[in-house]
Amino acid sequence: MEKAIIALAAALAVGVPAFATAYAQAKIGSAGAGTVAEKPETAGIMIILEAIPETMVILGFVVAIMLILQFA
Amino acid sequence: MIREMKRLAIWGLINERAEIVDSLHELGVLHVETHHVNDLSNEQINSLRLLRSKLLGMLEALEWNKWDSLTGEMIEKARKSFTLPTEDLIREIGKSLDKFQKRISRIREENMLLKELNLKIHQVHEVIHHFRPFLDEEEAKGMATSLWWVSRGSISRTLSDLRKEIRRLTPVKEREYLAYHTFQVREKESLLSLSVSPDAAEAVSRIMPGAGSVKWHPPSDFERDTTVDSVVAVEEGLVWIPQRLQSIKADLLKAHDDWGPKFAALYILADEKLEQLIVENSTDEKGSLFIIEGWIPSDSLDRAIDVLNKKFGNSILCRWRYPSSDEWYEVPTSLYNIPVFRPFEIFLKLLQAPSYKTLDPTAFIAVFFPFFSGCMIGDMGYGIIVILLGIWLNKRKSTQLMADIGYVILIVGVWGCLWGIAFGELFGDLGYRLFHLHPLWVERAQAVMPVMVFTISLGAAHIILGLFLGIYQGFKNGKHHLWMEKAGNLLIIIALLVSLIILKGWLPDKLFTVAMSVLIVGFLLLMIGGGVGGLVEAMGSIGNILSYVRIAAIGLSSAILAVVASKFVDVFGLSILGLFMALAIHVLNFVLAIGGSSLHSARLHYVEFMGQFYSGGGKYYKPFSKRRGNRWKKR
Repeated sequence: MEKAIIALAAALAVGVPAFATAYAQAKIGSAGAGTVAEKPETAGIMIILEAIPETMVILGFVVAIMLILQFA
Repeated sequence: MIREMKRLAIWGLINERAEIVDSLHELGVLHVETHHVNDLSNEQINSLRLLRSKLLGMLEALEWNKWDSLTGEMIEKARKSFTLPTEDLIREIGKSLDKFQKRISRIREENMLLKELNLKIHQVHEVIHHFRPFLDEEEAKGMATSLWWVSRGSISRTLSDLRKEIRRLTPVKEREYLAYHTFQVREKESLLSLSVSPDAAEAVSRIMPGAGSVKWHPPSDFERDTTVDSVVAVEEGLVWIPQRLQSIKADLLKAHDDWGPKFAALYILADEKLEQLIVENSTDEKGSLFIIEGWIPSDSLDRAIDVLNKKFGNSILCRWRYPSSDEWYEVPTSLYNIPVFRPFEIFLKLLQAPSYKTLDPTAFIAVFFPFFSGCMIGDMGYGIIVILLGIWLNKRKSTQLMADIGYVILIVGVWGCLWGIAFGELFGDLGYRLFHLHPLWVERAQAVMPVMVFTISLGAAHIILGLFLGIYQGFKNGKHHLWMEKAGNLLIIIALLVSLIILKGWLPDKLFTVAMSVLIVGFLLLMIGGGVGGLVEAMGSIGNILSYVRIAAIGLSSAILAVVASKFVDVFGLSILGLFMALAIHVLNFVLAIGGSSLHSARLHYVEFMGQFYSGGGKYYKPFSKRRGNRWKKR
C-alpha cells in the first residue's frame, strides 16, 4: 500500500507539471507559429521559447526520483 | 572573440573620389555607414536600380535561385568582360535584357496556351473516342456524320422527329437511312452521333437545333470540314502538343542553366556598382575635398593605409582613432574565432549580435554544447551514426550553413561516443549482450542519482563560469551595478553550495559561519547592484542550476528506450517482428536523441548560461567589399 502511494506521488510529481508544460507549450506554440509566419527569422528563438516550460517537468522528474529513491 | 575596431577617416580630392572609393571597395575592410540610402537618387543610381530589378525579374522568370552554386570565378569572369563606362554598360545590358525578356515571355505564353489546349483536348478525347469506330464505319459508307449535345430525356423524341423528316425527304422507292450512337457524358447530358445520307444532312442541321440540341465542336484549332477529320486532328494533337511542350521545357531548362548564372553574376555586379555609387554619393564634401569615414578592424588597418598611400600618395590623408565609450553602441561587431570553434558561431545567428566590448560566447559554446549533447546521447552506436551524419553534411557543403551544422553534429557525435564508453552503451544494452561491454563510469539506466548529481554539479560550474564572465564584462566596461549584481549572485550560489557540503558532513561545521558571512555579503552586493529585482534573479540562478538535471533526465529516457528496443527481441525472439520493433524503437530513440539533445543543450546555453553575461544589441560588421570568393554568400 505504502509503495503504491509513493508511486502515485511520483507519478503526480511528473504528471501535473507535464500537463502544465503541455498547456504552456500549446500557448507558446500557437503564438510562435503566428510570429514565425510574420517574421520567419524568429524561428530559432521560437524553438528555444517552446522548450522553456519543460523546466517544470524536469523539476517534477527530480522530485519523483527523490521520492522513489528516498522512500520506496 | 570580438575584434578590436578603429574609426578611420579618409580625406581625398573630389576628382579622385571614384578611384578612392573603388580602392576601398576592392580592399573590402571598411564598414561604411551610408545614411539615408533610399533618399539618394541620381540618374545613374536610378538606372542601376532599374537594371538590378530587371535582372532579378529575369532570374525569377527563369526560376533560377541557385545562388550558392555561383562561384567567385563566374563573378570575376563577368567583371572582367565589362570594360565599358557605367552608363554605356547599363544601356547595353538593358537592351539585351529587354530582347531576352520578350523571347522568354513568348515561350512562356506559348507554354501556358499549349498546356491549356492539352488539357482541353484530353477532355475532348475522353468523350469522342467512344464514337471513333462508329464514325469510321459510317464515313466508309459515304454517309454524312455529325455530333450533337442532347438532353438525355429528349433523345428518343428527337430521333423520331428526325426520322419522320428524313422519310419525308427520301424518294418513295428508297429506304430512309438514319444511324446513331450515343454516349452519356453527364447525368442529364449525352453526346449523340448521327449518320445520314448526304442529301439528308441539311435536314439534320435544321431539325436538331430546333429540338434543343447543340452541335459539338472541337477546340477551334482542331476544327475541320468533317467530324471525322476533327476527331483525327484531336488525336494528332494528343501527340504533337506533348512533344512541343517537352521541347519548350528543354529550351527553358537550357536558358535556366546557361543564362541563370550569367544574370546572377550581372545582378551581383550591378549591386556592387550601386553600392559603390551610394557610398560615393553619401560622402561629405568640403571645398575640393571629400571625407569618408567608417569602422575598420585593427588588424586590417595598417594594410589598408599602406595600400591607399601607395596608390594615391600625398593626395590622400588617413587618420584613425579608438572609439569612445559613447560610441561603443554603434561600433559593428566582428567575430574572430579559431577554425575549430568558428562553425559554432551559427549559435549567435539566432540572437542579436553581441555588442562591441562585450564577450563572444562562441568558444564556450564550442566546448560545452557538444559535451552536454553528447552526454544526453551517451551511446556509442548512436554516436557513430551521428558522426557519419555530421561528416555527410559537412562534406556535401551545399551551403556554408549546412557545412557548419555538419561540423557541429560531428563533434556532438564524438562526445556521444565518449559518453557511450563512460555509460557502457552500444545501442542500449546490445553492447553488453554481444560483447559484454561494461561501463567505464556508471550504467545510467540503473545509477540515476550519480548522474543527476553530476549534471547538477556541471550546471553549477557552467552557471558560475557565466557569472564570472558577467563580472569580468562589468569590470571591463565600467558597469559597476552589473558586476556587483553578478558577484552577489555568485557569492550566494557559492555560500549555498558550501552550506550543502557542510550539511553532508564533507566539510567541518566551523566553516558554516564563513558560508553565512559570504551569503550576507552576496545579498548586500546583489541589493546594491540589482535592487529587489536582483533577489529574484538569485532565485532564478538556483533554478538555472537545477535545470541542468535535464541532461540526466533526457539521457535516462534515451537509455531506457534503447533497453526497451532490446526487450522486444527478448519477447518476440529473433523474428522479423522482433527485429522490426527493435529497429523502429531505435530509430525513434535516435531521432529523439538528436532533436532533444541539441534543443535542450542549446536552451541551456541561451537561457541559463548566456543569460548571465550576454548582451545583444550589436550589429554585425559588414565591410564595404566586392563579392569575392564565397564571402558574400549567406551563412
